[in-house]
Amino acid sequence: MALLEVNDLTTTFATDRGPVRACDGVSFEVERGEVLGIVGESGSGKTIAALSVMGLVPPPGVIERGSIRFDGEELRGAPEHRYRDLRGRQIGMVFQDAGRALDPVHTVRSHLREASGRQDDHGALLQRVGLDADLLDRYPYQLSGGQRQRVMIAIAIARDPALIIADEPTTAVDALTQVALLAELMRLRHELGAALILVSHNLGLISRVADRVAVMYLGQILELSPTAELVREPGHPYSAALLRATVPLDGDGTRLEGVGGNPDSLLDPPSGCVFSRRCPHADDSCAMSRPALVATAPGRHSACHHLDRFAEATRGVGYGS
Amino acid sequence: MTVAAEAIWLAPEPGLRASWRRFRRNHAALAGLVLVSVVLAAALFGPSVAPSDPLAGSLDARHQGISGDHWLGTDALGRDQLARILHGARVSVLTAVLLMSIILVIATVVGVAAGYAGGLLDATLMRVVDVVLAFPSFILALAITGVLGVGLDKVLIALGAVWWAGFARVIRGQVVAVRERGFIDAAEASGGTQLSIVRRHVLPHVAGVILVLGTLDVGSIILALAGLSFLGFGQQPPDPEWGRMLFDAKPYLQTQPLEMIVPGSAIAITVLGFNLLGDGLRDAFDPAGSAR
Amino acid sequence: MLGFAARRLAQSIPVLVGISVVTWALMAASPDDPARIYANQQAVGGRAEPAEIEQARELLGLTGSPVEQYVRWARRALSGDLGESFRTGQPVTTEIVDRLPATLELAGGAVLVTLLLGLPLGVIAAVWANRWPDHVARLVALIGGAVPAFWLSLLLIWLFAVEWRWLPSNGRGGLDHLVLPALALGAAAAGGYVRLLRASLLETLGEDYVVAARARGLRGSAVLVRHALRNALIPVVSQLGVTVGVLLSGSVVVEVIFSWPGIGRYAVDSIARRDLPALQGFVLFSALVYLGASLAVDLAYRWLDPRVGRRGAER
Repeated sequence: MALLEVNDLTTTFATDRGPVRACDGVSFEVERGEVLGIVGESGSGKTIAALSVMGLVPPPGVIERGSIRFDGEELRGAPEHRYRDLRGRQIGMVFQDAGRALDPVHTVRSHLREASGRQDDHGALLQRVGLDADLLDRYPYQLSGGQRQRVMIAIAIARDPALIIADEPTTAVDALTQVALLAELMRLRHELGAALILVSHNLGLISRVADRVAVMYLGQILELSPTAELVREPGHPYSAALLRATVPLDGDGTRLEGVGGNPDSLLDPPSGCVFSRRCPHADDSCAMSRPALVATAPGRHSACHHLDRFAEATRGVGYGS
Repeated sequence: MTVAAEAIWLAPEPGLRASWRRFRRNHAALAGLVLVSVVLAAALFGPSVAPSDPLAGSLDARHQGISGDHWLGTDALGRDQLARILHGARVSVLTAVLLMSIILVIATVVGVAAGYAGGLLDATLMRVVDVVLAFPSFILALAITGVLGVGLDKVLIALGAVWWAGFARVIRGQVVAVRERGFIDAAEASGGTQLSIVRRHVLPHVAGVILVLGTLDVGSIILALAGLSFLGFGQQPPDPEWGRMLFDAKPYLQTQPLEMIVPGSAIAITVLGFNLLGDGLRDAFDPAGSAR
Repeated sequence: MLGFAARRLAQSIPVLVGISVVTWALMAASPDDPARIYANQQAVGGRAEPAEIEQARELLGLTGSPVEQYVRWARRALSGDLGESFRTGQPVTTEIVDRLPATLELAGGAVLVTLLLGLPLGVIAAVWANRWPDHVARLVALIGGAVPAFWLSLLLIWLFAVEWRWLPSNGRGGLDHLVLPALALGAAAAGGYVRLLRASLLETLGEDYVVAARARGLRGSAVLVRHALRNALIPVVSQLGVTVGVLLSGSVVVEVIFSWPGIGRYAVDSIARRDLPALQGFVLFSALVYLGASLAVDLAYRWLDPRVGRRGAER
């Protein structure tokens, strides 16, 4: 049994201009100790997927369908107090912009007190994330971006959770700090033996640390594959496009291209395959019906009508092979 | 933008048509529009259809309750309350709206002059605004009335002398914001006269704000005017005015509560209508800021 | 904090000068000659001789150029001398200072009423946004904002003092005397706080730090109080200064209706008797209380929001 099993998760927002499906039939699993990357452009539903697992979908959003099982227990429809016991204790979350996710009127100490449930020893917690204990009485605005993000991580690991969800944990800081933060996060995860869901728009970053990657677009997972295989041989036209648009962290970046076309809007999703409007391989059948996410090889899943045709065209496009 | 907002962010539709659509879907705003229309119609046409003379009393008809002859009863001098409410609306509502329009014109002139010209003129005008706003508005208006002497005209002057300042400050802020967006510099570079730039580029941008602010604050002008009249400084007897009617009803509170319920309700309903309408206009023009 | 208070006071000096000029002008720029008003009131038979009027002019300091007059007036005002009341001949400062506690008591009671009504309703409206408790709270706020304090006073007197005889409606005394006028005065301002706190709380409830607080397993009530409400109160507090001005304004009619012996009723009596120095004293003290309130609010604001004015500590 996997630590987290998400099945057919569908999260909908009622807006002025009709319902918006931020997550549309999302399914994935996270094994104990595993690192799952979720990659997608903004608006792909990756953040809402993470918040859905936490039971923190902001209003007017509701989980319309699907199941979320943590450690075998169904969480969808679970009472708020059950969720409260899980949050922080079993599942820790790192938010994308600690400048916003830390309460401006509370000190670091006050945050850590809430997160750990302990009255003291907060200095040790700070030291675990590589910060000085004398930052305890600072307010968030008195910290640098990197320090704030480390405080965020300290909050997430304060009670040794079995799963950490990190939503764009390094986006708000500069490139150098990014690398250090990611290394810190991976070290701590390893120490705790915790599983990690790393949510990011940056496939290059995810591909460095994730065991498996889920590629999301307009609320749907288009590919779910082991990282090494996805990078070597993407199993979906969108994965391939993302890969081409990615600066390899250790590469020279000469092959950099855009995904092509403008991102579609959740308000007006294409019929059939959600990527059909931007896909170079799309034909009429793509706009007709939505391809299911099916196993294409051991451990690999893809949602594409023309996998064969596409596979011929893109063999060797990946890097790191 | 927060995580949640970014995930589902939708920009509000711009444009007048979208504003009107938002307004039309807002029940509270429509209720306000209806209330204001009814009250304005009553003030405009009411006196000509009023059942009787608002000044003619009869000692036989003093302190009467609701009846077929006097739908809202009579006052201590036997005058018909409905007639007095309808005639009083001219002062309490129409005059207040007119006063608000004049105040907005003054405030726009000052605000646009200060925001557009900048420099010494701006600094001077804004210091004057600071000083006027350093006093609680009603208290300064009351004091000016005290110096000028009682009478409706004096009260209107006093209210006007105080109320423009807050609007002028907001309008100036809007003009400065327009200026910073570079429209004006571009227009100046293409050689428009200052007056035409103000008319074509500045006023359209501040018109919505002026309309919303003015509507939102008509209620407080009505309350201030009625308050000063209640104290005996505004409309002088025997002419009807709602605040004064309340004052006249006060001695008979114990036995004739109807006499103070009628004018009080008239004031409250009118102010409610303008407040609803103002809220609705603000939400329609500025949906993002409507939370405030 | 002390340094800030001193700086803030220093910044108020231009406004204080402006306040003093306006106050002075109330008499000096009066369209009716104050000297004649005064002399007529003093004269037997109410009609003063020209000589008496000139004497009054001298006495009131209304001779010389406007600048000289203002400087003379301001110098005396700085030493606490605002002249004598036309009616009583007593120093205006003493008369105002005697009545100020009553007004401050009424305004304080009204602030309490405003907050006790406005804040809980605002929280209810935000927590149950767009459901029936919200609709009820907003309806109450709307009606509260439309009912004039002078009408509410009459309604309260009618119900609580006349019909049910629960509370006194006249004069100042114990707490029971304060209830009705404070309620009449404070209720109207509460509506604004319902709306302000609702909007502010809805905003903070959507902030990442609130989601993050829930994500670390905090109870809903702790998230609401410690994070959402704590931050939402910052704009609410900044509004309190304005409210003091509104309440001072409203206290005039309320004091008249309830025969409350404060400076508002004093002012109305002064206007009726054309007692210009008394009116000046009223206006000056009202402005000073208002200014003091906004200073206090600024201090409270800094205390509530650690970010304000402490940017120097940032690195």
